[in-house]
Amino acid sequence: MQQTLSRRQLLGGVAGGAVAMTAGCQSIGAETGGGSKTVALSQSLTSGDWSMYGGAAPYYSPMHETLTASSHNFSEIEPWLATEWETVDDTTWEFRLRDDVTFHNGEDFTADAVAQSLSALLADRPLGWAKVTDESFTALDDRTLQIETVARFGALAGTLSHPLFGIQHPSSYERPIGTGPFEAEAVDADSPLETVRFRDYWGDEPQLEELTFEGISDPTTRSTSLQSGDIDASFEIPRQDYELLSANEDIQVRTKREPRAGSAMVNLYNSPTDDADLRRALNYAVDQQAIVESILSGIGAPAKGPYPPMIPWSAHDDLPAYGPNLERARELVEQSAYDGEDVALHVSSDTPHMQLIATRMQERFAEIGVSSTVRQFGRGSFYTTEQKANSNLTLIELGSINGAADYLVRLQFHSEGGDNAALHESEGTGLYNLGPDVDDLIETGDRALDEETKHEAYREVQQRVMEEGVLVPIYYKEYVFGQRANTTGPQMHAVPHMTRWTEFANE
Amino acid sequence: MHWQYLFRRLTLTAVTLVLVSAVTYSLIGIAPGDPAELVLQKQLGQSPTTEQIETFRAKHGLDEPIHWQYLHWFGDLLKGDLGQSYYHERSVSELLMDRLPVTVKLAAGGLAVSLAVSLPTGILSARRPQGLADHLSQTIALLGVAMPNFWLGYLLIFAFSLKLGLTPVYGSGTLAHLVLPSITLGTGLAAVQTRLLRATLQDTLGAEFVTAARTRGLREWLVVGKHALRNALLPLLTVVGLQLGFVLNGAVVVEVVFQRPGLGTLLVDAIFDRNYPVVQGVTLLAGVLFVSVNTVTDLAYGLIDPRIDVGGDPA
Repeated sequence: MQQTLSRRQLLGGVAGGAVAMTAGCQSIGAETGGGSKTVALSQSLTSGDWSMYGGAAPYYSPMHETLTASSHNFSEIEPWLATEWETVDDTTWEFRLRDDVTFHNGEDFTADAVAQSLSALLADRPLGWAKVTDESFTALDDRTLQIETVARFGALAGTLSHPLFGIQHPSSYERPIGTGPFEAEAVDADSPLETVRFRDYWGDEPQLEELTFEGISDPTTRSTSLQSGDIDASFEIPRQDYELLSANEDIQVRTKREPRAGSAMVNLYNSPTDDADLRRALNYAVDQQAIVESILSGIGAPAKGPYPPMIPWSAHDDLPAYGPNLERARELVEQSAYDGEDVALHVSSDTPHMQLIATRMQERFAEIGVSSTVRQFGRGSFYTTEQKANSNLTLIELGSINGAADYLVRLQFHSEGGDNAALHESEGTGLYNLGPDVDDLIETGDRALDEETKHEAYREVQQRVMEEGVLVPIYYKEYVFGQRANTTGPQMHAVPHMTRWTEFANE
Repeated sequence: MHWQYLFRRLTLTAVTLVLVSAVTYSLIGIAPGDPAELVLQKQLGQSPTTEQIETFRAKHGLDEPIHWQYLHWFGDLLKGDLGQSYYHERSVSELLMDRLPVTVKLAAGGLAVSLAVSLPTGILSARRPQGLADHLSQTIALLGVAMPNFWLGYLLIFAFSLKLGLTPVYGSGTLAHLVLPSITLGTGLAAVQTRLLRATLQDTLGAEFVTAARTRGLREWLVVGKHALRNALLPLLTVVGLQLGFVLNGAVVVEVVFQRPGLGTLLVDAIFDRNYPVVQGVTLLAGVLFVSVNTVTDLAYGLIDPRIDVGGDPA
């Protein structure tokens, strides 16, 4: 009977043989570790349309790397496959690439390969927020990549740290070929993604021999699988399990603040929230601290604005403090034109914690004399309903998974931002835009090549948004990462997708 | 069995499936939520532009009226083409073929567990009504019906995976992976089967032919097992046939809890994502399975009880 060996079996056999041969001599692998580990994610990396990356989502990818990286606390943009970069003129950038990098197929990492890879990506998947197109990339020489943005765009370097910009070798999109510390062993649709250590990796050698990513959609199953030892680590452990797992000596759990916030977006043009006094009253009514403590199990922080302080241009400290203050809220309701009309709170059925938060807000609104209804929608109809402008408050969680979070401001508050332009238009502004002045401020920040101008423009936007009650801030998100106690690393990253797996190892 | 009967059943089946597919297409078509926006939003990481939405709609024929979309889908179906998933860059047929075995194994496992529970408990209950076994089986049946699948699944995981370490928590690779999901699914099915078997067997045990068998001096196990049970099995068979058809419902929850990539989770995701071709494909396949199982069940009547002439003239 003919039997074929998988790469994993072959590696296992070779490793086993080598260990046997050197028994009693110097311990092989003492410096580089070894073994295999399984990490659970909330969704499979091999489901969905990822033909550009050989069928595997680049998210959490130990296979594909980006030109730039975000520091683990989201404070700055660091070199990665590019060592340095500069602006040549308003729209032209030059990136200098590392010269010691090899693709998984053994070929050299060159500017031409990068240009082809990114051009193919943008042709396949036009990403308007990135301000680049499939014609933006030119290799000036082996090590220099020129990027032409469609407009002046200060956040380009940070934007390129988004996992979607992971460099795939252009020779083949049939299988993932990147430069990362692990290479793909098997990519089968809807199956765990299996990777093995890439021997010629340019950076720190990975500790593990094999690393598998398993999609487990049910949060309780992720948690129990970690407890049983079926998996070695898991993202998105349910908050309510934090105490239980912390008390388990076989498990360690850690939390990390994300550049992500939960908010209620307030429709400026739908009655009764078209009244600024009522919007401010709603802001005064909400008790963010209580929500974080009771509904989020204390994991996260009460929000004061649309963006957590870790985002460098967040204006968290400069924003008006609303409360909670029910007395002031009642005064504002009196002062407003509110006539008892129902306020509609829209929430997605995909986010159970948001449903609880909406109910808590409803109770608080009742205390200030504002009646409201919570309406729950499946993810298929949630955005459509929002677009039809039927809501007053829409509860969402929004954040960045790249080093530059600039697109969030545009997305939420610019009249042409994705969450406005596509939505029901009223007075040409979309639902959450305060008018041309705010558009101008956002564009100033968007174009700015210096940090000071950008911060000032975005600060002004956030201040106006909060003063006018365009948004009710709720929480700044923290995620929970659990792992077996006999494992070490990885260093937690503010953006979980950017976790570096080279440090993940047996204790 | 009469061939004319089989032909009639097949024709009826075809008509039923066409109606099911048309109703499904209409319902998902009028449900709020645009597949173009949902798919592109996932792909691009933000709301798509109007141009991108229009391009997607044109590519997938979504810019046509719903009845034309359906007719195109139906035309392709007659050529054996179930279409392409919006998300997976794979054909619906491939997706179905990948997922079907996982669900079939689960259904078979659930059915095996249910019969393993319902047959002995049903017989014991029927033989000693109001006895200890009867009260116990009634309690188990009540729990089986009342307890939601997801809750039972978590309880089983807690006991057998976490505390005893006997089974894996999730997955679908080996027989061990099938044990807890089968018990979870089978318990609900068993509850209904047990109560039904108890009732029908009790009736049968009081029938004259059973009394006659006893007076002939036949041993009790032979009376129950050979004579009474055979007659009591017919209603049970009907219910099992119907239950198998509905197993897809229960499978959704069980598949999520135990992370089994089957048809149930594929359908639910497709509905939420407005992935029309996949919804149609799974619905059609489920319809085919449902009707097939019930046809086979009807045909099996004749095998269990030769006095029944399946498809014969009722006169």
